[in-house]
Amino acid sequence: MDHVAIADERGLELHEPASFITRYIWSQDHKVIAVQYGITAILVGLVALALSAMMRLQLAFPNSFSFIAPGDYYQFITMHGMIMIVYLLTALLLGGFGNYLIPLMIGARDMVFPYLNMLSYWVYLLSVIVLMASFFVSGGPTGAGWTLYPPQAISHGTPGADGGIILMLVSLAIFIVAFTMGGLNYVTTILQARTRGMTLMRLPLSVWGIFIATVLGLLAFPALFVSAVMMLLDHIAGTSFFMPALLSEGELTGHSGGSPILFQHLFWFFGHPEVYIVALPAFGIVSDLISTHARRNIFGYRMMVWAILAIGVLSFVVWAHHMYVSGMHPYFGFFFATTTLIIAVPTAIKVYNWVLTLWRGNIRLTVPMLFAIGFIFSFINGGLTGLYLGNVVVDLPLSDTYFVVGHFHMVMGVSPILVIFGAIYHWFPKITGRMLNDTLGKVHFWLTFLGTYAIYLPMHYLGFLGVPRRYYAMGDTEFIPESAQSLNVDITIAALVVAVVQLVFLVNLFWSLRYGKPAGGNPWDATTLEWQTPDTPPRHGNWGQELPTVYRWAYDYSVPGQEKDFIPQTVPPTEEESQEGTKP
Amino acid sequence: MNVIILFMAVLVAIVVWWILLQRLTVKPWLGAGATFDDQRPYSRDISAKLGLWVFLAVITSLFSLFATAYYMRMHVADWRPLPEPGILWTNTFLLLASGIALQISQMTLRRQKTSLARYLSITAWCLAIAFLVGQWAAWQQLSAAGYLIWNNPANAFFFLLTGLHGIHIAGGIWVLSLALWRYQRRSDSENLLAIQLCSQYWHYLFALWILLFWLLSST
Repeated sequence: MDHVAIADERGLELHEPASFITRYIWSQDHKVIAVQYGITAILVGLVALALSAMMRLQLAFPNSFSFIAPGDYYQFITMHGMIMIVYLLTALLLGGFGNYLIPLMIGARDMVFPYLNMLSYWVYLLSVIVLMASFFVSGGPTGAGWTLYPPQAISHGTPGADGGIILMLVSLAIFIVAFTMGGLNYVTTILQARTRGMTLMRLPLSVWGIFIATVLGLLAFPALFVSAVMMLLDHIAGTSFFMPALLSEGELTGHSGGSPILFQHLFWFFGHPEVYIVALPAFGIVSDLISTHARRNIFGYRMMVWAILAIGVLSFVVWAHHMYVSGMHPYFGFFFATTTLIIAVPTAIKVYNWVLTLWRGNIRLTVPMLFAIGFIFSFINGGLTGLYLGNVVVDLPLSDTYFVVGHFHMVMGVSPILVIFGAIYHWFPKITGRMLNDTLGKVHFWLTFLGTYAIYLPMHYLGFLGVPRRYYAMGDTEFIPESAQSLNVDITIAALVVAVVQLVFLVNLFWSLRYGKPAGGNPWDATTLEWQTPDTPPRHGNWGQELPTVYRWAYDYSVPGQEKDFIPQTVPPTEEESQEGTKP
Repeated sequence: MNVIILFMAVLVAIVVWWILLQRLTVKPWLGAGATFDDQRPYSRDISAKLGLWVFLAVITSLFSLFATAYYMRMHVADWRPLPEPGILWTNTFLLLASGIALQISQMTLRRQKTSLARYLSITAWCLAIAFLVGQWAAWQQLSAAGYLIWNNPANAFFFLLTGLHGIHIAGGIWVLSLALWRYQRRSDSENLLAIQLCSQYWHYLFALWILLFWLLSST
C-alpha cells in the first residue's frame, strides 16, 4: 500500500502512487480525498440548487408549471434541505476542507489513518448514490420535509412514503458511518500528528473550528442514526417507536403507543449541533481569511478558541428551541430560551473580534476577503433574527412563516456558503497551483451577495405578514395582500439570477485550472504552514524529506520593525523576540 | 433523558479536565521560539489507541441515546416486558470468556510467546462467534414463544439493542480475523498493537452488554 509515515523519519523515501488509479481514484492521499469530497459535494449541491429554482418558480407563478404538482413541491423542499445541510455543507466543510487543511496546517504528512480516510469518502459517495437513487424509485423521493417528522413521513399519502423515505433513512445511516470514519481521523490527527512546535494554541483557527465541529458531529450524528434506524423499523418491521395509533383512510394502521415527540427530541439533539457542525468550521476559516487579507493578527485569539469551545458545549443544551410549537412545559421553554440566548454571547464575541481584526487593518479587497466580509454581514443579519426566534413568545407566531425561512437561510445557508466560496478562492492556488480569475470572482461575489439579500431580506417581511411557509400555493387568502405575491415574483427573479451566477463560478474553476495565472507557493503572503510547502500543489507526503518546525503562532502579520508584513510560522525567532519570550 | 444527560456531563467533565491540561491560557503571540521540549514524538500505537477511544465515545453516545429513548418509551401504557431467555446468561459468560482470552493473549504476546498468543486469540474468536450464535438462539426462542418485534415496543427494543450490539461484535470479529490472517507476516509489536486494540474493544463491548442486559431486564 502507499503508506506514508506521518512521523518524521529521516531519509525516508516517499513512494508516490504510480498508476492513475491509485493516484486519483483509490487514493489514500488526504489532498486527493479532499478534492473528491469537494467535487461530489458541489455536484450534489447543484442538484439541490436546481430543486430550489423549481420551488421558487412554483411560488412566483403558481399553477403555471404542469410538471410541478403539490407532491413534487414537497419532494423538492425535502431533498433541497437535506442535500444542502448534510450532503453539501457538512461534507464539504469537514470532508473537503477538513481533509485538505488539517494535515497541511498542522504539519503532518497525511491523516493518521489514511486507509480509513479513503474508505470514508467511498462510503460517503455510496450514501449520495443511495440518496440520488430515490429520485428514480416509484413514488419518488420523500416529501416529508427535511425534518422527516413521523407519523407523516412514513404514512400513506405523503409523497415518497414507500421507497423514497426508506432510501433517505438508509442513505443517512450510511452517511453517518462515513462521517464517523472521517471524524475519527480528524480528531486523532489533530491531537497526535502535529509537527514539532505546533502547540494547540499555535493552531490556526480553521483547525480549531474543524476540530470542535468534528467532535460535535461524532457525538450528535448518533442521534440521527438512532432516529433513522427506529423510524426504518417502524416502517419496515411494523414496530411502534414513533408511530401512535392512527386511522389512515378509514383503517387502523396497526401501530400504537409510539411517540412522535420522541423522534423530535432525537432529531433535534442532532439537528441543533448540526448548525454548529457547519458554522464552526466556517467561523474558523473566515477568521483566517480575515486575518490574512487584512494583514493583521486575529483580534483576541484566545477568546476565539474559548468561544469555539463554549459554543460547542452550549450547542448540546438548546435543541428543544426547535420544538416550541410542538408544545412543552413552560419551564422547559424558559430553560431552552435562556440557553439559546446565552449562545449569542460567545458568538457575539467572535463577531466583534472579526470586526476588530478589520479595524485599522491594511485591508486587501481580494475576492476571498470580499466573501469573508460578506459573511460577517449575512451572519450578523441571520444571528440577530435568531435572537427573535429563540424566545418562545416570538417564535410561536413566526415559526410557520417565511420569517424562519429567511432567518435560517441567512444564518445557515448563505453565511457558510459565502465562507466556502471565500475558502475556495483562497486555497484554489494551493490546490491547483493557479489563481482563480479575479474579475469573474468579483462578478460572482457581488451578484451572489446582493442577490441573496434580495432573496432573503423580503422573506422576513413576508413572515411578519404571516405568509405561511411550506405552502404549495397561497390560493385566495384574505390576509395575504397582493403585494406579497408580487414580492414573491421579485424573490424568484433574484433567486434565478443567483442560481445562474453560480455558473460564472464553475466556469472560473474550469478556466483557471487550465489558464489561470500561476500562483507560486504563497500568493497571499500568508503565515500558516500550508503556504510553506516545498511544492505547490503539495506532493504526496506534503513536506519533502523533513517536516517543518513551528516557532510562532499563526498570526504574525504586520509585526512592527520587521521587513515584511508577515512572518511564516516556520521562521525562527529573531534575537529581540527570543529575549522578549523569556520575559514573564 | 437522564442517560444522555449523564453521558454528556461525564464527557464535558473529561473535556474540561483535558482543557485544563492543555494550557489554553498561554498567550501564543508572546514568546516566539522553540517550545517543543516537552512534546512527545509521534507514536503510531498511541494514535491507534486514541482513535479507538474516540470511536468508543461515539458508540457510547449511540447507546446512551437508545437508552434515553428506551426510558422515554417505557412509560407509555402499552409496554409489556418480555421474559429474558436463560441462554442470555450463557452468552454473557461466553463474551466474558472471549474478552479474558484476548487479555491473556495480549499478556503472553508481551512475553514473546507468539504462537501461544495466537491460539488464545483464535479461542477468543471462536468464543465471540459462539456469543453471536447464542444471541441468535435467544432471538429464535423469543420468536418461537410469540414475542415478535412488532408485537410490543419492549420486544422491539430487545431485538434492536441486541441486534446493534451484535453488529458491533461482528465488526470486532472482522477486525480480529484480519489481525489473525496477517498474524504470521507481522512483527510482534504490530501483532501486540492489534491484539491490544481488539481486547480493549472486547472489554468495552462486554461492559456495554452488561449494561444493556441490565436495562432490558430491569422492566
